[in-house]
Amino acid sequence: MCTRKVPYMKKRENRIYITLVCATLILGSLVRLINLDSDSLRLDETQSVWQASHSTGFIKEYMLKNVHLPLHNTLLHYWMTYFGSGEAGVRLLAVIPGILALPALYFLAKELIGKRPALLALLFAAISPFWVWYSREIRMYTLLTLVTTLSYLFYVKIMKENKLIHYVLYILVNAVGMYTHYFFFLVLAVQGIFYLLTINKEWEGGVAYNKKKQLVSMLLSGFVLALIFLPWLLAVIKSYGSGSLAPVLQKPTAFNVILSFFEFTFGFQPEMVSSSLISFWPLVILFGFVFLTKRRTPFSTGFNLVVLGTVFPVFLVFFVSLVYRPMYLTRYLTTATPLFFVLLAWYLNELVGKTRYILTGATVFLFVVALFTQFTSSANPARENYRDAVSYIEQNTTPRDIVVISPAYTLYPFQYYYSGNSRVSSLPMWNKKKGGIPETTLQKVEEDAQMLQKGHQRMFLLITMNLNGSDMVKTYLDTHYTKLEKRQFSKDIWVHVYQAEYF
Amino acid sequence: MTLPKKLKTSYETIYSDVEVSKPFMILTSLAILFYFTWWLDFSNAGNFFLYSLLVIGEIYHVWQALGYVYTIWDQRRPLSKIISTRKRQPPVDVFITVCGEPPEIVEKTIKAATSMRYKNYKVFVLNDGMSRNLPGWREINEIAAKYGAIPITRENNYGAKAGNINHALRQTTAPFFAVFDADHRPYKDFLLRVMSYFTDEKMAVVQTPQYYSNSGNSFLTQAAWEQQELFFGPICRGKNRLNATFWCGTNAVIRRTALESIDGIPEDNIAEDFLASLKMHEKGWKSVYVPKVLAEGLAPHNLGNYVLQQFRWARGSSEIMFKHNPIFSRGLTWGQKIQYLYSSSYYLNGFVILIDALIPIYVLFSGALPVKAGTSDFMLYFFPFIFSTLHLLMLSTENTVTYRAIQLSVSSFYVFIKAVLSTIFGVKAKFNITSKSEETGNFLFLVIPHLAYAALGVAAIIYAFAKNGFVPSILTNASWIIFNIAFFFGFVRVAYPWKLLLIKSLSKLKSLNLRFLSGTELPATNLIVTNNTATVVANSDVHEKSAVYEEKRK
Repeated sequence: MCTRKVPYMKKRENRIYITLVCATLILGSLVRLINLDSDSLRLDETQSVWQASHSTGFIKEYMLKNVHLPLHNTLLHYWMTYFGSGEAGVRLLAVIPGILALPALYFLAKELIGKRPALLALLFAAISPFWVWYSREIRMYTLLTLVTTLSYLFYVKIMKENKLIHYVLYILVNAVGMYTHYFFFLVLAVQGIFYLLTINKEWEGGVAYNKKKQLVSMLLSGFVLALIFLPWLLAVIKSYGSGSLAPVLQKPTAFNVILSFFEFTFGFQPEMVSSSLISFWPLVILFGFVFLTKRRTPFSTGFNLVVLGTVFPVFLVFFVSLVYRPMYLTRYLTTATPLFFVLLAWYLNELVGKTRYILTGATVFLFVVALFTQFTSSANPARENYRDAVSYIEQNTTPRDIVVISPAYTLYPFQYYYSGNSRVSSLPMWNKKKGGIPETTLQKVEEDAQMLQKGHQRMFLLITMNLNGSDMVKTYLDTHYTKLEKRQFSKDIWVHVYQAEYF
Repeated sequence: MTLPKKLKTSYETIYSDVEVSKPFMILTSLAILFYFTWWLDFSNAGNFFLYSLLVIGEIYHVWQALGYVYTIWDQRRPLSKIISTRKRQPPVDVFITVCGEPPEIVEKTIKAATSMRYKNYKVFVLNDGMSRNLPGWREINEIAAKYGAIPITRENNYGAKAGNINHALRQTTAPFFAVFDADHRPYKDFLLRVMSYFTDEKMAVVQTPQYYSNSGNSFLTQAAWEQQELFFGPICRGKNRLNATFWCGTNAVIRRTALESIDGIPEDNIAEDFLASLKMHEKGWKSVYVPKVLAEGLAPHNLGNYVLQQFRWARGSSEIMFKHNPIFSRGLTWGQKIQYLYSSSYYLNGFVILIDALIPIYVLFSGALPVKAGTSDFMLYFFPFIFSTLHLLMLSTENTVTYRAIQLSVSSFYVFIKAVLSTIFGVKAKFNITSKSEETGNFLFLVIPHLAYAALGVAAIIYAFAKNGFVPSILTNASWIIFNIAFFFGFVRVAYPWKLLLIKSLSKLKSLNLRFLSGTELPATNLIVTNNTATVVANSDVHEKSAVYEEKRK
């Protein structure tokens, strides 16, 4: 029997396919844009806004002492001159790369796993709670995701077609990536390792070309990229030892690795939901077995890149954090997510029969539910409702009260929202002009608390409980002062009101 | 990730010359050992008894996984050549062992055996039907005579298949003999290809794959073949490197003098082929596996037959384990010892599956936890182990290993346990012949353990949820129960013609419904049942469709 499709059927199928791609892109754009200012700016976002509100020279100097690179906040600096510093205005800068990452991912997936599963990968990316979350956060992560996706796309294009235009685009994208986040170097590392491992391998669907010439071109690209990064590298070396604003991180545990993949899939969920879903992990093993079926060879060169790009950055950072210095944060590892979605789509597409439809449907359903919960749940651990907390303080304080912020660096969101006239300080007290944040010790807390209470009727403590030192501050105040009131605004944001002095 | 290749045929899979990269095998081995270090850390132990049981199970898993890596380490194919039809061809006796198989099946085998392109051979039909007083044994002898084969019958049936062959060996003289089960038909070039390996004077056994020509018939036959693909694929190819290929009962040629050196085929063991190979290896003889389909047979058609077959294999292997343990055997190389132990210990799997299946139920009912550590820590050890092993399995089999094949293996746990226990306690094994008729039927009695497990599992989950709520440890144990049920479903699926039942019920319902709606009688319907499909047709169509079906079968 002839199974070849007649042209009009093919055309119709193509039209449906393009419609689905467009619909998914629109859906992805909508969930990123809708109610952009519904959530308060988070601590990190207000830090970005604060830095961007300064001159580009200041941003550069500040970033030399930080763990981040200057490009994003410099862009934000210029953006704010046109769009202001309102919540929706600043976040719009994150939404743009967030939306652009979708077609980028689609084209990458198409190159790696083919047209049909690419649509599924696009759908996952469009409704991914993780991607949606960072697309609505004015930080560099969504830009990092975009450049990562494009970097892989042009890398694959070079491997398959070896055209000059792809080298040019590859260099441009990587230059942006190198100045966006240090973890972008993990992407280059993956590509470098993979290139060396597969130097003589043919890419499926690629054209024939001279491998030696390609090696020279790749080395040249690497050299150009090194030149582009050199000025920043020299500046970092020059400023070495002039103080550090790097956050102090804990050593990760195995749970962090599991949690990272959980968050890549389900985003930020209330703790009970996360722990329950993670508890179903034996089913992941079952899915591994269900995958076993007679199939055409699925492990192409591209597949190996997908696995390496998904797993290598996470495990490398985990390992380095254990043996050298803690640097493990899931958001830094967003570079693993584009290939993670490709991997997920590939897996589901490779299933056969009813299993494919059931598991694909279930996965999409879980993504949708997770996105909905992330949007709506007040127990979302990543939500930081400083806006309402500050508004509450504003409405309830008088000039005779003092507002105390702890830890000290949560002054950024406070300052962003606060327009009251009470005295404001941090505990431990921090003079920004004088330098780095003081260490939280019991002695320092005690001294500063006694100093702050003087001349004030009540002490309004805005405390963020999941940050270093907050436990000590709260315990000290709880045991030495009378608590008049307490109120929770999101999972870790609290306002406690203490009696300071009796008048 | 374009997919340029076609699905491989069974022939291509068996004949594959795939080489898994050695760095990946080393990585997998490291992942296996890394995983085992978690279990060696006894500070993880919660309930010590449960933990110990799990450790025993894990030792077995690690042994099997490392054994697999060791087996497939080098997949070199032996050089193959065909004996020229002009050259001298050594005499071969071809034995077809028959014991109550349907005459039409035996006839096909005799016909194929007598049609081989080889000058110097005789075909003998070793008909044990008479000694067992089985119906139709005379007919078999008549068929043999019709094709020029020589029937050999005997008065008693001592020693079952081994006794039958030994009896035939006493009445024949050729220096080599080939053995085929009654349902395994050799191809024309079988002897031409196989005999070339006997130019090596020390070569005792040349084994070829057992291909199931009916593998596409049903879920069961497909899964049974896929299990064979794994064994006759990477495992047997790997055994070549260590001169550890063993005779698998059929589709093989054996040197008479090699067998005589061990006083014939052992008749006291249900896996006579396995034990005979071991004894020949002890005497320094060689064996080789030719990864080329040169004969085709029939897979068990129903669960009853499958269980019988598995029991026979498990019992035979257990006897090797417990009565002729290769580790203490003199004359074997260490590579051979490990290979024999690896293959014969496979059936201990039943106990491990049972332990792994029952512990989550016990945990849910009792609240006792076998491990203290958080599951996330465990996952970091377990995931690299399980996924690298699965990936290795896929690479080494070229993606022919299937979930359904593993489902059947796992579901067979109680058969394996029964076989091992019967060996340990010396229960006499019966040599049951698997029926080759195309029967399907009700084998629900064979899945009572699986159904009981599912019921108990669900009860345990409900009990634990009612008592403690949706606690993570309960969810994890509930997931393990679901995991086990998913594997046990393999047997349940083939234990009863569910599709038929569904179609019958649907057609009944439909007819009732239509009668109710229209108030008229429907034309009488009937069911045409082929191997794996059933079609409801009007009675008037039955004869026509049956004719078409018969035609297709021919």
